[in-house]
Amino acid sequence: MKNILYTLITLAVLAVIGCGEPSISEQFAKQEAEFAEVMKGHDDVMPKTGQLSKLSREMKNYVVNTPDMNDSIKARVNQTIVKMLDAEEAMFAWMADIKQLPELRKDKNHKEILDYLEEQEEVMEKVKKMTNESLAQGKEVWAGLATTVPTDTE
Amino acid sequence: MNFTKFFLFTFSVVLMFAACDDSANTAGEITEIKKRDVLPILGNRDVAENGDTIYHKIPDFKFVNQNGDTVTNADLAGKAYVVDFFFISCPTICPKVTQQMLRVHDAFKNNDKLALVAHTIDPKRDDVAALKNYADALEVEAPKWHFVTGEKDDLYEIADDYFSVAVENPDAPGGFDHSGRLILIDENRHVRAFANGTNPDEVTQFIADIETLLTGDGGR
Repeated sequence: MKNILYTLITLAVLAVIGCGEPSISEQFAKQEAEFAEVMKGHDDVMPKTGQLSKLSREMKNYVVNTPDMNDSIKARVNQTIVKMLDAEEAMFAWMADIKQLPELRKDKNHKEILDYLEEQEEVMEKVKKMTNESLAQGKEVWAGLATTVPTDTE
Repeated sequence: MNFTKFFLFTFSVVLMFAACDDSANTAGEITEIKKRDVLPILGNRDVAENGDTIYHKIPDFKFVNQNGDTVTNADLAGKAYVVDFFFISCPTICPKVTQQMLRVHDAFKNNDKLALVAHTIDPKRDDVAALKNYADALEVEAPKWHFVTGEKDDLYEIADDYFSVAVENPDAPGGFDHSGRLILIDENRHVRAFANGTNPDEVTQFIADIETLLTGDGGR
């Protein structure tokens, strides 16, 4: 009778321990879902990164080809270009730094990987904010310039 | 087992295998390859004073490839070439597009009339050494396949020129200059065809188009 009791207790303890930790395949599935979420954020912002690049080049060309531009307008345009290029660089730097799951799994445990991906989501949020704000400012400044000198960029 | 039972059993087995075999559907999904007699010249065109048509032409360029050698349009004289834009750290589109560029490379590996030119759009990180490592990893070499870098504005400006005929959607997932397009340029620097480099079926058609350009009257 005692033996049966001990066996049942042992099995119950093992079951509790086993249930506490997701299986490797469950961990991988969770990591892949989180990684996909990070990449979705990237994919949403990346088209705007392309727009930043194009608009900043157009504005640079405008400054070069408009030597008699008012100094305060010129300063505002240049400040906007810098802001747009900073946002573009933030995206490229993020893409160069982001670690893929196989690399992460070499030296991080499940929790560390999830923490890393959560951090990356936060970084991407910041990149998104920089991108949206600088692009909105760029469009506004560009629209102001376009009303003074006709261009073929619209 | 009488004849009726035997017939029903055999019929059921045949029906079961027929239902499981999706080759008919698969065959139906494969894009039909159109063998074109001639490829159009794409892009904007003007009419000269004498009435001749002036086609869109890729401007002069000067970049540096994975070996540190300067590559200009003169180095590609007499050849058609396939262009794409990428960057090494690209996490989503580029690996797929590069696989399709490899298909193009392999299909015309021994044909000296075609070259490939992959432009980085991240010259800050993709320097000559990085491009060399990338090319080596793919086991490809210049002058068949140039991976080029240069001044950022020069790279983006020529991207605008190539994509002026090939990009329908500036909100494509990769962005305007990173749409995953492959573009075919003829020996006169005219754009002749393009394909979505993330779509293997489109690239199959694209490879057929290159064949058309390189053989017979397809390039006229």
